[in-house]
Amino acid sequence: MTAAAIHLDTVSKGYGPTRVLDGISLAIAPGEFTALIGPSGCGKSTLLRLIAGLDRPDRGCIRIGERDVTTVRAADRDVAMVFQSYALYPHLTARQNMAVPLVMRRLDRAQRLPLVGRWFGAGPRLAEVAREIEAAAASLRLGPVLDRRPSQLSGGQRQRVALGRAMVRHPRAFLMDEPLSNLDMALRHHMRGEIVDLHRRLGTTTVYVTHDQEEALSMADRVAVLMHGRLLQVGRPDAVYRDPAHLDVATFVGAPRINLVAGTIGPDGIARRGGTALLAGLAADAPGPVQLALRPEHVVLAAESGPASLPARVERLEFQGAEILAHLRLLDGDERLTARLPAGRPGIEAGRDLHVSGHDGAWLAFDTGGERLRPSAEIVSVGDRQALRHG
Amino acid sequence: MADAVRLATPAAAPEAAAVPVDRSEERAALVLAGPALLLMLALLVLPTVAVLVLSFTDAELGVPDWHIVGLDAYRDLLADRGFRTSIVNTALYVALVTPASVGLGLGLALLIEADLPLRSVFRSAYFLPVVSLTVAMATVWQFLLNPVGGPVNALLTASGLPGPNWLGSSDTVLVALALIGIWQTFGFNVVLFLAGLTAINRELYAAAEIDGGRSAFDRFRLVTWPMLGPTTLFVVTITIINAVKVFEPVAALTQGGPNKASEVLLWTIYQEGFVFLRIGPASAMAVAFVAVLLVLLLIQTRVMDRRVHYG
Repeated sequence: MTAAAIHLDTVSKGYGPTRVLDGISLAIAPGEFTALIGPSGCGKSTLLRLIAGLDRPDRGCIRIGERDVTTVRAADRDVAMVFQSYALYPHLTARQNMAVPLVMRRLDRAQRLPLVGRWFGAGPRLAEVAREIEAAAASLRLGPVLDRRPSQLSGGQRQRVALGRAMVRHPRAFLMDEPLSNLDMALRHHMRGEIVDLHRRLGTTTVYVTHDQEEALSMADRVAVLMHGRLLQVGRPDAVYRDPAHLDVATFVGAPRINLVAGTIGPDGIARRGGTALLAGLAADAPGPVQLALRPEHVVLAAESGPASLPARVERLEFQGAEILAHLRLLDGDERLTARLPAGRPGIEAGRDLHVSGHDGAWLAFDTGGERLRPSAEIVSVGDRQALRHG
Repeated sequence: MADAVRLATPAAAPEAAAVPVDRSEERAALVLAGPALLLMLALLVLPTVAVLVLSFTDAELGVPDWHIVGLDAYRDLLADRGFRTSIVNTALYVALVTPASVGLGLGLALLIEADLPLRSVFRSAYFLPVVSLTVAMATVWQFLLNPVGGPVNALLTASGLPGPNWLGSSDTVLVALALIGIWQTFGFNVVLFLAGLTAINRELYAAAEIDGGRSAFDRFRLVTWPMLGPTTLFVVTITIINAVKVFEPVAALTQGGPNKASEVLLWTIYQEGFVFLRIGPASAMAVAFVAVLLVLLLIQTRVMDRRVHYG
């Protein structure tokens, strides 16, 4: 089976009076690895269940490949799903678990009967199923544990059995619902690599739901950020990170969280904090309050004040090995900022007053509704570039 | 017991191991557990021992001299045709009631669970026979099954079928009693199965659907039946125990008749002990009865338990 494209067209879904998904449109190319991310309760799992066919949308349509599957039941959509709880059948061994989708599809009802199934010609088909499972198990390194039940497997092994059950029948798409959230940190990092490798090897279209933005950024070809039932941004991981379209995207993606500073935008299109101009060239048609955002790694700390710097006090340092996080508080307000700096930078210690500015073009502006305000001209920052560059 | 006492005291903490055992705490534990232990001894252990001792005698109520007859009491029991009939009848009754009551319970629980409106109404309706008084309901059954003018036979006659003398013929009396037994027990099984069904992980059904389980039967075989294993084992066990203990409908409706065709174990024990006042043989029967139950329970817990728990 070849990888299929997935198209969602203004899909909406509600439960009772609550709108869970509101007009979601998304096109996923064949073979693409797309991560659906958002905070819990944003509707990402619901969206995945709609793609799987476990729920029906109230409005809109869903296509897998060329086929409109909006009203097709899950069993007939030819997609495979990996569940958060793995949903392995506890009474079956790993081998039998992986056999289920093949047996269900290739054997008719009479052949599936226990004991007497062989009279109806189940034998050769079962032998074929057994061969395919051996092959899949070998590629997932499950060979030695194939005859154990899920309760006798470790978390990582269960995860791989669930992946094996999904991949044995070569579906048109993989749907994964937070598949790594039940694993411990080390195993999670390891399984990320395994899933990405698996995707590269099989080339199957994959939709991956997670609340862990770091997981999404590190694994996916494209990231779709879903909040309050709406898609706020869809794009490559670096684009979503560097160029967020919405304040909610900026704050959700990236750890530690992006720094926020309240400011105002003047009729000259310059965003200021107090008297300090931080970002110029914005559309000046809507003067008023504005949120200015700066990633922690773009924070520049200096002992001397510069033309685009804000005074702040270092409250606490957090050692992280190769780098340190400096937690600061603006002196002219209440906002707390985090700066990510290489470890061992001299002159930065708790209690000191320093001056905060941003790397060239690093400040982002959002209006009160959270929409991104983009600089229209070439000038993307103001201030002494010379002073900023060495930071 | 000693373990339980030790666990209940903070002295069980590892660092306290080197400290000398706190005697006063142990005494307090004994004092606290004492009343319960005494009650258990008086109410559970002693009566059991008494019955066991009596079963080796030919004691009769009101007869002052009695003798120890030892295992002869049990030999006589096995030679007694009445007792053998009673065992066969009880086994037949259990064989009729258990599968029907469990099957009906499971079927109705599945129907109710399948998002039926008025779910709670059905649940309580099916539970009604369980809470009803057997002896009182027996009169209703007597009326229903009455060969002359009873609604059941009136219906059978109307549809051209012969209406048997349900409770009056030795061919049908066990079947009639079994029907009453099924009616009375399946509601409880419905409730137990419903509890078992709600505990099944919904994601398993989603997985079964995605894996290509198109029909309800596929999903039942792949998920519901295996996941209900522990519940089913429990339901079968208590249904068998309750069926073996059948007494009230027999006492109220047939009194073991006609012609000993509805002689069941408890009824025979009751007759022996409370009508003929022969305590010795009645005790022997009671011991045999408990032994049969224990063997059944052992088989179930030892053999079946391993097959329905997947841990």
